[in-house]
Amino acid sequence: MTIDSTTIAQAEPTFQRSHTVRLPRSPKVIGGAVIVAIFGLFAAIGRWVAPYSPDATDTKNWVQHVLVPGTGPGTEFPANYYPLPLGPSAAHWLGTTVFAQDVFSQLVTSTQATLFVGLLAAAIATGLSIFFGVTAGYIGGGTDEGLSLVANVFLAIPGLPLLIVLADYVPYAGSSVILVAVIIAVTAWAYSARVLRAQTLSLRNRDFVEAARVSGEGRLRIIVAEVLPNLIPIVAASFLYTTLYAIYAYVAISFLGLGGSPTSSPPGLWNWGEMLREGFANNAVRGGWWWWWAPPGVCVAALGTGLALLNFGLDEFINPRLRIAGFTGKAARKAGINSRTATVITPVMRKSAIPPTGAMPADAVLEIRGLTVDYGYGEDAVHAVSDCDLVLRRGKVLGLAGESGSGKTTLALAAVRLLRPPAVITAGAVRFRSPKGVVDMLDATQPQLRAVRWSEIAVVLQSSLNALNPVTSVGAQFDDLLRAHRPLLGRSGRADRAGELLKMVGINPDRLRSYPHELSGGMRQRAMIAMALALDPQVVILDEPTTALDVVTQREIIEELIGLRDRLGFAALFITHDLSLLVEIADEIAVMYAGRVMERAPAASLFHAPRLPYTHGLLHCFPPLHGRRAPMEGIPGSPPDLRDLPTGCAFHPRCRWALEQCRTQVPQLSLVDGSRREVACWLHDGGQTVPDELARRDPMLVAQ
Amino acid sequence: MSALLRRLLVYLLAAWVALTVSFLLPRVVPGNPVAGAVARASQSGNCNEQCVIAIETQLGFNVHQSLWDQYVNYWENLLHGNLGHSWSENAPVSNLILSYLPWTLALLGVATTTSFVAGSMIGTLVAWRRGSLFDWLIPVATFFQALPYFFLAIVLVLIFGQTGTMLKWFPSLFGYDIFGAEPGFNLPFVESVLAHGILPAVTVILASIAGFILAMRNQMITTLDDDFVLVAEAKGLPTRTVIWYAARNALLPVVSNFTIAISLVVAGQILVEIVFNYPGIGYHLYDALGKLDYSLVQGIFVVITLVVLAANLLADAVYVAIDPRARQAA
Amino acid sequence: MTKPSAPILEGQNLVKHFWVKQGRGPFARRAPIRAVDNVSIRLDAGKVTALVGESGAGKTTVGRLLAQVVRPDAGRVLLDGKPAPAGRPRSYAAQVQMVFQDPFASLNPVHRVRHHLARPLQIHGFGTGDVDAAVADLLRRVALKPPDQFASKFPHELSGGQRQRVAIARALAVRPHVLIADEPVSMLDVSIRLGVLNLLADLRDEERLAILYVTHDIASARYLADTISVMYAGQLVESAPSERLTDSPAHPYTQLLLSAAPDPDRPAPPHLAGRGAPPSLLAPPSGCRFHPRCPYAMDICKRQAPPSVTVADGHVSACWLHVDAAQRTSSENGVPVGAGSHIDKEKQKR
Repeated sequence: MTIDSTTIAQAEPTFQRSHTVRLPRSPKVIGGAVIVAIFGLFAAIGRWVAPYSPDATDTKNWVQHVLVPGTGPGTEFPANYYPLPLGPSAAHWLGTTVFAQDVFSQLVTSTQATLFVGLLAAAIATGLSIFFGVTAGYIGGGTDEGLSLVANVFLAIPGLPLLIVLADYVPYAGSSVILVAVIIAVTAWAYSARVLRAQTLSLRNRDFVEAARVSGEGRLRIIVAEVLPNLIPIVAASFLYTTLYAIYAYVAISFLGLGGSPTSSPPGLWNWGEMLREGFANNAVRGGWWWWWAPPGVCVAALGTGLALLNFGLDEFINPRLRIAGFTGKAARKAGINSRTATVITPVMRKSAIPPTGAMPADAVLEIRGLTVDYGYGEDAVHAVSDCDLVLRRGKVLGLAGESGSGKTTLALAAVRLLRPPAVITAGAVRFRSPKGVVDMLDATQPQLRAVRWSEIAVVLQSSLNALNPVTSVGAQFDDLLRAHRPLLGRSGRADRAGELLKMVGINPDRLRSYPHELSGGMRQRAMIAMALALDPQVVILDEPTTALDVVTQREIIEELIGLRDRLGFAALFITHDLSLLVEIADEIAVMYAGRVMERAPAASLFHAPRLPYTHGLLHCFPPLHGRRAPMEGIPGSPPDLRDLPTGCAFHPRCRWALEQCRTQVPQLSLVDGSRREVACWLHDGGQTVPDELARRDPMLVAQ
Repeated sequence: MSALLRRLLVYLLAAWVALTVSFLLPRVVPGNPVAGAVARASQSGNCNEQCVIAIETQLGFNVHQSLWDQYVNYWENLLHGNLGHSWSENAPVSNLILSYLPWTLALLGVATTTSFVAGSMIGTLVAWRRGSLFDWLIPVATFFQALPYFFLAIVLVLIFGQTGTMLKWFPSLFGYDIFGAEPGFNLPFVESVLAHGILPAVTVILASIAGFILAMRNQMITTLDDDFVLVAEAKGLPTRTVIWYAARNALLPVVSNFTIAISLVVAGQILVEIVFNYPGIGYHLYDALGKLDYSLVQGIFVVITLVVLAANLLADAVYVAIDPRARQAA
Repeated sequence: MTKPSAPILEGQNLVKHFWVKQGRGPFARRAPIRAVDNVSIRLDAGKVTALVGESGAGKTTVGRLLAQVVRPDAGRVLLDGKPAPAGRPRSYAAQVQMVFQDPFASLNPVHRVRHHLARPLQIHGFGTGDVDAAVADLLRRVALKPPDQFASKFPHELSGGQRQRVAIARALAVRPHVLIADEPVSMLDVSIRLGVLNLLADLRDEERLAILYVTHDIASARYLADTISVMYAGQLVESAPSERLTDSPAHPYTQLLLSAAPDPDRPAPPHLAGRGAPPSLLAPPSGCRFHPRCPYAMDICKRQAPPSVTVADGHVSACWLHVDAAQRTSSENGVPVGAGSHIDKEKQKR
């Protein structure tokens, strides 16, 4: 199987593709880039645009002495005088210090050293972390254990105290920005190294690295040309993070007087921390001389915010889920969809009229009419499911077959409103007949849906490991479910029922105490099925429930499911790409292609006498287990890209019987061979000669 | 269990490295550290002859012992709780630190716990109500995360502090009213301590909470897309339970990154203590640096390291308790 | 069916143990997982050999052992009759190539198709001439046309089937004699699987490649392969020409596998003989590893590993059922009536 249900529920893969290569251009990222660029510019040219030398004293006005507030007559403290710095003026944009030095010039000059130390330390630390992290991750084994230990030890020792001790002991450290940068780097590399190691470790086991190894590529070249390019976003993120950290660290040790003062010998460089130290030490705060101490602090915070915003953008780039969360929220608001929480309810925005709904067929439990589902909004919308009809009947298994991207999972989950935005239902109607009456699923409110969910319609997903909460025991998850829906049952009643359910699917009730990771794949899927049946639902949606399992386990689980269906009488929607399996277990099969149901028929009819060219082709994609071996063709071409569907019938480019009409007009699902089956194909609209392959005798008709 | 033991080994090793670095640094740094120190001290004018002798002894300058013997000696002293003698306070370093430590631990404990709990809860809420007004918290939190602790401290002192110029609501100097209250278990003292703790604690909380909010929010958003959350919704569980499912899982990486967080908070708090003249180990570290009291500086470094390592071990224990997969990890 | 020609690549009595941590606390020790235990397999020019089994059966490890990506703990790999050199030198890479399961993971997302195909050419010294022309030729051989268009694409711009074709082209670039294809179609859409299988068949027929087709899908193995070998819990249980193996399986596990496989032609739901799951390879069962599940298990199966028995020409099965009762070590282990008659029936069918 190519795509697990997670990705489908998130967004169609084709939809994600367009966003993988470039950085997201959110206001956050742009804002961050602008801030960082301004500081970069000042760092580069500051020395020359500063109106004064940072050390020059403007003695003309510097003679005023003032009493420090809170001292002198009337207080307990002896009178204390300070020279009065000048407030902002045309001559001194940010005023002066008590030493009559121009604050703006100091600030601009400081930018250079501060940024230089930050970038140099980050460069050294990133270099170290790449070396340690990538080497450890790629080589593995003892080297990895050793290097990881070193990194973990460094990580555990608090950075700033170590930095203070180092800066304090290394003589004149503060006077050399390079030495300061090296010392900061030594305390800063470990975190990035750990992140890079973990990433490299996962990359090392990726097939493309193994493929390079198999093709005879050397180790160094694999690291440099195959592994490192994939780490660039993470290296960039850790570089930004380390720059941020290094600037704080430099400012902090300068504030402590360890970063080298311009007045000491040998003199250090002006930097923001030193400005803050001087201001703080000379009572700038108590004196109310905000223009002196505030600008360097604001600069640190602003540059920090800029770097953090950039990092935020990188995070969204690295973790697509964050990106989609931000991206869809805004697009949804623009499209007028108000989803203020992350509750999973597929929004409904019907543009066309609701299709006429007569009385539901007598044995129908879930009826889907004309359902259309988009991913995204407006211009960018991808039509994942278009105009689909399905009816689930009591006690019957309806098979839904199709390839990845055909919309089978989307259709099923949208019908019960379990797709997250950016999915949106744009047309159709879904009705569910519960014992208490008919529920319109698309008009239902959240409480109404909650009442239907699981107690009437249960869902089993492909990967049971992901479907069970990994941190609580299986029993606790049964308990939560029963407590929510069977409030009258006591604690022991719930435990008994859970044990009963597990026994029903052939698991020892002792397993209630187990955590999901302690069970095998087959057992987890059985536990999920037991959970699905816990409330005697009318409908069970099974989304590729056995795809991840081995054939023997698959067969056992299917036997169990069919047995339970016979006993309990629920209707099942069985979704799979494996048509050959479906033919064995389903009563009726619907075949989807490119978001549409293209053929629907009783299983035997569909298998022995397909009417749709695609179904015919698909049935010939499964090599038989008996008879003579003969070359088979499969279906030429690839499944279509939903963003760029062929005109007319989406299958026409791969169809060997395609007519002129197929290129331009979309065929509609219509009845053929009586009332039991439908097909959407121009070959069957009456005016054409149907190819022999598509005109076999329907065994069900013969039986009748 | 074994995972925890492994972590304990890492921390023991980290402690050993920190202690050894602290031993070796003054002895192996190139150049003559005494000359450098004395030069700096004479510049600031606060190193007398007593100080020079103390520095020399402390740096092993006139000690006629091999480096190895000194090292063995150092460990013997450490294991007896002897961290040396502070010349500036004329008292054993260990006694001094024991008197500083409660201030720091109380502030750190209260502030970090509040910040972690509140931050995780707010982060959860922001992620759950994404697309709502809560989204404005993200840039605001980013800004606060970028604000240096001590700068925030200065701003808060200015606005709310009695040593500031504006509202003068809260005391903003020292750990208690050194003129009005007698240290001991009496009401005025306790009240005074609490009042003096407000601004420092608020500073540390404000500066550190943003990191927890953002981390939790990002983890929650990732987790909310997981299948088990979808299944929890499909099960019709109450919203409370669904959020709890996701938050329990999202919390795991946040807790495992606590190592980094605690390091940053400790670093920030050292500077905050300095701004408030708060009598914890951070302020006295600053004080000792100025007085060139190397014994005290080293002792404080060692103790801070041990405190951070203990906090890490606690975080690991919490992690093992909340992740069943870690519990059986061999 | 004895093949007159010598095999191109042969694995003899291969054993591979992976070490995993066991136990807790300071008493944790490493225990071996017997991933592959005494497996012999041969690949011939112009033939496809399929290796079938469930996940964890060790089939992928056998493929990797043959490609010398991992070294065997015991046994040896012979290339053209000579022991494979240690350290997997380029000369070996030039002869034995691999195709991986997941075409979304086996191509580096940061490099264009051209890079993936040009690198092997350059490494192995075919890069002296016109590399672009050689790349185009490779793309044509795997039916990606027009080649110029494909060469400049990034992997994410291709569909799954196209990616797998690029992966095959990369393997072909060094002009190997042996191709190890590890589940090459299991991640692909159903409708394009046959296209890739047919491509492998063409390479076998036209370029006389020896191909190892590792798969869990016994129907596709029957379609593509000349010989099928079935693995269970790290051991080879049966090996035969593919039609023979699927039509008259001799090992109870193979029978189970066939009965569980999806088969729309089946008139009634199959009867599964041997429910349950494969054993933990940390402590595999004594004797025959299938005996706890085997419906025909006898006493001897629990005590002694079965020998490989030649059931028919080219058909080997490792099962006590095929050893004459007289030859079985102790007399108390008669052939159970059901099992014996079952096997006999199978024989009569032929």
